[in-house]
Amino acid sequence: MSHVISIMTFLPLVGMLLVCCIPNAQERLIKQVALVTCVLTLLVSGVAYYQFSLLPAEQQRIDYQPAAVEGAAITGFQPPLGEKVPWITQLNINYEVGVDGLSLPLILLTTVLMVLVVIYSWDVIKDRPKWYYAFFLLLETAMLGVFVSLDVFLFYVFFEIGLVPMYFLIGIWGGPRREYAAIKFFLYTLVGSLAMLLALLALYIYSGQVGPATFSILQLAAVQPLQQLQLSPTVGALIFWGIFLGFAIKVPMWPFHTWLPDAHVEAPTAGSVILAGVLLKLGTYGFLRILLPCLPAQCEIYGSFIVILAAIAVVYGALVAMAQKDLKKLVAYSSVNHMGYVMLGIGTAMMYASQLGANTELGQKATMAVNGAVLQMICHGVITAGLFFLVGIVYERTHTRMIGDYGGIMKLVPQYSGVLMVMCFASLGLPGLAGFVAEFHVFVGAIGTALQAGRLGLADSNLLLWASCFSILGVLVTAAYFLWMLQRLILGPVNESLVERAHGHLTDLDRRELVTMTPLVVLTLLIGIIPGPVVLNLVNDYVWYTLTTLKF
Amino acid sequence: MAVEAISGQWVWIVPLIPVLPALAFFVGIIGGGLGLHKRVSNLTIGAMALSCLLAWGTVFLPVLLNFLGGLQHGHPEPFSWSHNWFWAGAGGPGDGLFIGVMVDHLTAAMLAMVTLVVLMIEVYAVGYMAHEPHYGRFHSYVSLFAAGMLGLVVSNNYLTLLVSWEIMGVCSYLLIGFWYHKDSARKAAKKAFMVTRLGDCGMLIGIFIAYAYCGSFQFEQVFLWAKTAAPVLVALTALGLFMGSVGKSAQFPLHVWLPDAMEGPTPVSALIHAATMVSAGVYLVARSYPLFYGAHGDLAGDLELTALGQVYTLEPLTVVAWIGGFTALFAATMAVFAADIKKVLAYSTISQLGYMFLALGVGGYTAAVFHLLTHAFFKALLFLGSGSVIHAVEHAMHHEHVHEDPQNMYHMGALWTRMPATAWTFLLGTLALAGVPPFAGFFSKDEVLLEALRGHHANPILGGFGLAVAFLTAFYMTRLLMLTFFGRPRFPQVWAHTEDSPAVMTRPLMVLAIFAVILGLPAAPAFFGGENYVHAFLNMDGLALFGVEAPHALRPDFGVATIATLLALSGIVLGVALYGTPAGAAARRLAWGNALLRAAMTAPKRLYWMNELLYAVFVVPTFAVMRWCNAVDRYVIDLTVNLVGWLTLVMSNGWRWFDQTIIDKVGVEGPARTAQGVAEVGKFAQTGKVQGYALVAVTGLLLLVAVRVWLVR
Repeated sequence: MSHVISIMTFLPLVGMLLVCCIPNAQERLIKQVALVTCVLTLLVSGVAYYQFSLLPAEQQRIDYQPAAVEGAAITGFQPPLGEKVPWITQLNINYEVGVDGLSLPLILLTTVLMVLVVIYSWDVIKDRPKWYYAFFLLLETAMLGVFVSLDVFLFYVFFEIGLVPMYFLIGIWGGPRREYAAIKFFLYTLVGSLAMLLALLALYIYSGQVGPATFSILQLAAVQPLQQLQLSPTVGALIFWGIFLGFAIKVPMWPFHTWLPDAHVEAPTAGSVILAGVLLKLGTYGFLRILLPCLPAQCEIYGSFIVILAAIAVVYGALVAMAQKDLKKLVAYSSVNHMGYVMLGIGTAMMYASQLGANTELGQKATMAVNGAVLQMICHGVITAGLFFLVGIVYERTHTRMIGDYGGIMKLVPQYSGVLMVMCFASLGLPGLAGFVAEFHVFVGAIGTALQAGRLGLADSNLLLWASCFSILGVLVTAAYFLWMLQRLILGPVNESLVERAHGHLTDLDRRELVTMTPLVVLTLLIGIIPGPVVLNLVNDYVWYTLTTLKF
Repeated sequence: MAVEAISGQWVWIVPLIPVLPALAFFVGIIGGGLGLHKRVSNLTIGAMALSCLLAWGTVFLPVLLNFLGGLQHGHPEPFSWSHNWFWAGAGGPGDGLFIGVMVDHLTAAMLAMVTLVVLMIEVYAVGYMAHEPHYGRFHSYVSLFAAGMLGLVVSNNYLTLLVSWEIMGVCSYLLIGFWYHKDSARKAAKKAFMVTRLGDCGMLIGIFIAYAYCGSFQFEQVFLWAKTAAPVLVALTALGLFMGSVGKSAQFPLHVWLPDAMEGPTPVSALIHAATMVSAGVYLVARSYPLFYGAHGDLAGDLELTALGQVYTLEPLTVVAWIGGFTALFAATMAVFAADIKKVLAYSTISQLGYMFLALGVGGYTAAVFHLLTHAFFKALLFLGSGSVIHAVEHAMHHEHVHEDPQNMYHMGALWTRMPATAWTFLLGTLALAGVPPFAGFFSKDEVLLEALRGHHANPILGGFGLAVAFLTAFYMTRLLMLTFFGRPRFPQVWAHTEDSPAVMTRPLMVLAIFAVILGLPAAPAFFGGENYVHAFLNMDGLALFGVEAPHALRPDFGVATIATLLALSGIVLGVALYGTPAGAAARRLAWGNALLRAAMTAPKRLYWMNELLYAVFVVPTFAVMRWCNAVDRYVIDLTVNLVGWLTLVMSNGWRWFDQTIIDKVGVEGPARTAQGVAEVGKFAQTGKVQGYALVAVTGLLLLVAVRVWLVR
């Protein structure tokens, strides 16, 4: 049994404890410890990836196969790199972790972004650096914990722990309205989490009626207590919507998104980067890890709602982003827009969950859609993280985020403008860059699924078709707001008042900032040009396997 | 090298053709950022030269020799080869996305044209952009653009075609906005990208439909699917693809971006907005011809629309023909009234692209591709020539401190003697575009008109459009020539200071001029009963694989050729008369004096208000919805969230009040206070005097006795 997953997850926590022990005055040492911890975590996650890749193909997946079930217990089965240790035995709660093609890319995204965050913050954070880095390290453990948990209870614990450091990061190092934003973020997410907790408890209790009560995702998915007990649809609906609310707020899906712009605008740059880059993915990850395998029947019933909300989010998010005058808010709303694509892909698979295993062509198209969704989670993490860094970089120099205060800065800061252009074009889905591959897969998959479903005479195929075509409008609006932003920000005549704001001279990217941005640009290009070897082949295998083995 | 080589162990050569300039871009953009000038252009031009060499040496010439060899032995076999590579897993194991390259006669011809034109323009730009501070960046962008165009041409699937298509789009954006400090340039760049993206949405849907049903992006698979698929699906796919073409090739109603795109440096206008990118739309339709043409043997009624109780059938090719024919005429009328030398050429480009779509629409596949090839050479020549003029005039104006628009033809005149090399080559390009025999444009335009008038799907109205355009083209080009190179100089001191461009700029003009003169000649023997080599090379035999029954190419017709030539000549005569003589100038003044004529001429001069119309149809509603959504976000959704929060606060305050007032004050403190109050009163009774207590006791006793006696009997 390999412990690499646990080492990776708790390494940042050890780093945090070390940081806490260092006296306030030794700022440099604090930063060094934080950086070393993050780099080590990155290395360990790399080792995890390597060990995973050494496994034979059929062991690289988390198995929801009914064949592995005996009664209600699973025997002879081991998730990749998995560990299972009893934790609270009275309630059958276990420390159960493992990774697969869904969680590994997200884990690597997290560990990479954390290193960049520490590098970026090096000279920026002067106020109480000790607690700043301590909170970030705690956050990293929480995020990694969510991605490796295979026990709902453990998942929930990590999911909630993540709220605390983020709350303080916004509340202490944030902008002028930080308290409002921090409380809104915390409470809003907590409301969703509590609904989810109730639903998960219900699921736990029902699982107890068909065997030993369990929180294990694998067992819940394999046993399907709700289906076995043949409960009234209302019970299934309540459980589904409870879990849905918890994740939908986190994503955030329309109309639960308004905490996001406030949190982003007020959060410090690095906080926004992690918030957009990783924390939003906890929601979409939850949909794929918990909701789809554990409640496939309910997903099929309500999938069309998710598709509709996703299509609205795509177009609406893009339109509202276009209306923003604040640069950071624009990028924040672009997240609503882009997470809409993710949910469109996931919703597509949910709508026909029971047919995917039986009908190969439908399964292939839905797999493409979910591939796109997972890829979009990664791409959005890379691109939007880059965009938030860029907003932060220019804000430090000019102390304004109003787009109207800028103009023509390409002449003054060509490197910065070049990187910004690459990131904006990646975000608006330019082929050759990361965003395109993801969006393309989502659309190909969603439209393909809709047409296939129509051919098979399945319900709501027209709804899916129109929702997908409607979402393509979002691509157009996305291009419009990014180009308009570029036009007002970096092109045109130089805005002289801006130069005054920057104390006479606006400086281009310095070395630290270049180190921060380069990996993101390289990743954007790599995923855009060779998505297969970088991430897609891994994801493809996971998605196909999960979608075609859902249990009904 | 034999043609088989590329399909054998040399399989990597074809992808190398687009990859070389792409690599040059990556190195060049970094070099440009470091301030390296000449080294960047040396690198990009070197890469392009290598690409050109590969394209000619390993693709075009072998294919051509193979073809000529076959011709000698009777019927030449069409050469077609394609190769796939796995790109990424997509729909589970065993399914995946493939990318690949192909070579057939169309690819070979396009590769030869594109590499040569790009190379000439890059060399020209060395001179034209010599004093530009961002010289390195410019050459890098052009190199990336070349990679996009070449990638498009060698693609054997819609996926890499789309990728290349969009890479060209972004290069167009970057290069139109190259002088980004100008407000007009940044707006034109955004407009170009957005308008073409609008078309791309249709293209995406077309590609998605095809993929959903046939499960592949490969042309071959898609065309095979189209053979047996439901007509309505094929028609939708074709129309979707055509929507992309309409945007990219600036056809009505999405043509509005191309004139504005003239904000870019002139080599860019020549390369992207005349010779290559805008013709990619034509290429797309030609490449996808089995979807448009042959799926059902003929122009079958493909898409049935029911409106107002009647059923209409919509044939994709008919749509192509009408959009093309109308655009050709529509744009030509605007070219007649433009004052900016580059705008005249821009409208001319739109009009000529319309010609190509017209030809495709009436079944003239070969004619369209032939015109695409000749047009690329002479239009690039004309743009570069106009650039040479603008460059010289701008320089002279700057020297003489004349602050006028150097692109306005009415500020030029009599430049023939000042810049002979430019003028001569420009004249050759004009004759080619006007369709004067024996220049290249004559032959290709003749084919287009022949198809429209006498072809298998000829349409007299569209044919009439074509003839009118032939006349207008000759007229507006003569007007341009007269205003620019003849007559009297408007600013004599500027004129005296105007000098011809350096050799690095004029040599490419000469190379292009040679092609503008000779490229039509392979079609010439057909007029005298011989072989039409162009037809034979670009025939649709390759499409027969997909069940396309290609009609046999028409024999040239002296009647059509004579009418077209006469129309062109009369256009030239009218142009000279109106713009080259004093009487013509008087006639023009008279025409503008007439209210009716002026009203009629205002419409094309104001571009038929298409910009305003499109703004009102697309931009205004988008902004309205945007404001509406923003208001909903703030005042409905977020307000609800805040309201819930506020209500919770109010509620908790209410509970605090209840807690403090009712429970604490009334429930807990109440009894205590009551007891205390009673005690407060009662304590006065506790005087400690025995007499008092005795008095109370006796009084009580008496009261009890009284109650017993009187009240309770």
